[in-house]
Amino acid sequence: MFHALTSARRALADHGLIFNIHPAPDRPVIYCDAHGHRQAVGLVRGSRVRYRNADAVERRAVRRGLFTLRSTAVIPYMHYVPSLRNLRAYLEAEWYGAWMDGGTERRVRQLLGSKAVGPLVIKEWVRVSLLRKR
Amino acid sequence: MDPEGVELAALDRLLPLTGKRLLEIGCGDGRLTGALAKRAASLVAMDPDRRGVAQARRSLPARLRGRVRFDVGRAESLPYPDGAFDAAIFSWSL
Repeated sequence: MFHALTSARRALADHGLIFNIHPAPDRPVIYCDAHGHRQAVGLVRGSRVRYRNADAVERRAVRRGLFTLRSTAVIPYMHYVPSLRNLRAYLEAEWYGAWMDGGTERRVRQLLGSKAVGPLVIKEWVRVSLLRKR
Repeated sequence: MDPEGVELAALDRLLPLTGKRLLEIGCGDGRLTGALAKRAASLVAMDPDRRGVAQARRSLPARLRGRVRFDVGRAESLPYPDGAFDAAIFSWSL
């Protein structure tokens, strides 16, 4: 990952910029919209080490004087799915090594009924940082 | 909420991309490519996944095709001349 940053640095003009967008290491929260309320029902399980490493690589590049950190923003990223079944399929197809545990499934079924059809939302925090080439 | 819209709004808040020579590293299937192409003077979108790049190419609106070049390659060994871009975007790829 560090080599990717140095390779990109070479391809940048003087004072060129890097936008680094990646999920924050915090676990995404699963919400269920039921009975007029949005309720947290569980967390997306799975390793977040990759995203911690992405932060570390960025810090290392700044420490070594390759870039200055110009600004950062953390934005909420919402994924909407229509049912528990879709949520399971979505995590399996689109996320790397992520799953929801049985307790979360049970809570969704309790709130939405046995078919578990209703708006489900995954809220993930995404970090965007802007680095300037030195 | 439109996740791509939120992401692009955050980029625009940090720094407008309008008129810049952009490199998108990890374009995948082109989730952000079209929106970046609208803003950029030129865009090179690359990814190691050949199928993703083919999909990204297909998804790009015809009116933006003259502004975007697609490449298959790895971020660790970018084949571009020194100083070729004003900004590079690692989109969930670092």
